[in-house]
Amino acid sequence: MRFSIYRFDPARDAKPYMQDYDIAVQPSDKMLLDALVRIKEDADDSLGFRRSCREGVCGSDAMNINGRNGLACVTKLSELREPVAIRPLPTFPVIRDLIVDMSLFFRQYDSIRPYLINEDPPPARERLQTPEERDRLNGLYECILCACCTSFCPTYWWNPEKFLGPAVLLQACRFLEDSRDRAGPERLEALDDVYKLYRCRTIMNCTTVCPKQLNPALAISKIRHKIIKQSC
Amino acid sequence: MQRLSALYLLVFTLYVLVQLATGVPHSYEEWHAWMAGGGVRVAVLLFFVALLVHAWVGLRDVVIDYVHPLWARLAVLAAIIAGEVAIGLWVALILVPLE
Amino acid sequence: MRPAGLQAGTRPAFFDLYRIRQPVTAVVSIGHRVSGVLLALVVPLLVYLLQVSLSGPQGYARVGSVFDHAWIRVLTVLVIWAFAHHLLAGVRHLLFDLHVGTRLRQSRAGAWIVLGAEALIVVIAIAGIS
Repeated sequence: MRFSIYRFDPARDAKPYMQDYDIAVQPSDKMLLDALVRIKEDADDSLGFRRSCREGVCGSDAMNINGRNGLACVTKLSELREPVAIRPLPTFPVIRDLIVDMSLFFRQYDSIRPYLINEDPPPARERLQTPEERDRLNGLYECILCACCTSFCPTYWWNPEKFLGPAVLLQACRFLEDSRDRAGPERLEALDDVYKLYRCRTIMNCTTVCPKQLNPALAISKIRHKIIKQSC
Repeated sequence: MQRLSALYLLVFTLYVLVQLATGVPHSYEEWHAWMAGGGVRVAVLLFFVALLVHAWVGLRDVVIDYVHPLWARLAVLAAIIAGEVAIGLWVALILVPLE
Repeated sequence: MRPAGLQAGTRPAFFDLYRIRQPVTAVVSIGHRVSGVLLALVVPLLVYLLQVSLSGPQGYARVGSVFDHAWIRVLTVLVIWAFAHHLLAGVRHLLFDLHVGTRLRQSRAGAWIVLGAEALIVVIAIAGIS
């Protein structure tokens, strides 16, 4: 099977280039990650990429595959057009080959305070939720912070420093929807500026590429509604 | 703001389309009479107000996305505001004295 | 155009727009923006036509005769196309605000409906104007 992979070694290369590989994929190789590992083992040990769980829950192997972002470990080889073009996540600074700098992404994640804020005295065991309250977290808590969505969002491309991006905003919504959290008004106020939330144009690139089938565009819309409701 | 102005523009457009479907004005007199009528004139004036508001929000978003240096951004936004105020005055001068 | 985050002399990044496979929703979205800017640029022209058409019977006739020129008719179809796309894509946006068509499949279907409807309108416009 033929692959064309983005390569860049800051120690050696002046600029990135595409390197072609043609490897014998085994019947046991079902996912793109299997092929990448085989390329690294058999053809080119210098190929760099992140990977860990190999089952779509850690988010490490997010990359741009034939023009669309996705996780290598859950992308089926049988569904890929050849030569398979593999590139790093768009616009994220490249450290080496397919490994990108995610520090801005994680800084933005930290900025929305991704933890429960509740000063009430803790109960003897858990802070309880009804099943309905717990259901409100569905579609939000499952985010694995792979950055497929954020690096595919044109609005984020034009303003990465200021617009928080779909993943971070989805997580902000996750805490806004959590009945155990008490910082709702402060969270909403923190999001209510020209850039952080409102740059979103509902382009829907995020929802298109999310490997966990989440809907950041809808989460952003929900946050907008909450802000309007709060100001009424 | 953008949504509200959009709604008015949409309703107005549908109204105009219905009007056109029932008969394009065939002469200057018909056209003038339709425009100068009290209800239509106010509706058209409001249309332009809504249009200018709607265009402002849209163009401002485009500028914020693509024009990053602060001075350039302020210059472009100022030019847009000036242009829109000019258009607003122009439309007022056309429609208000109409009888 | 380089995104704000990338600076010369630091790490490279993959940003060949033509190598990124945009979904149909992105096409409708950029069309919404392009058509909006185009329409904004055309507004002064339309106000001028309005003024001339209301200035008297000769003015009205002059505005009518403007459409005798072939390239004006082409321009008119383009403006109608821009208006149709902007309006339909705008309605799709309003519906999304009301949480209608927010699921991926519905959003993609909505995008195709917008494109289909505007194609129909352009065809009607071409027919009507010829």
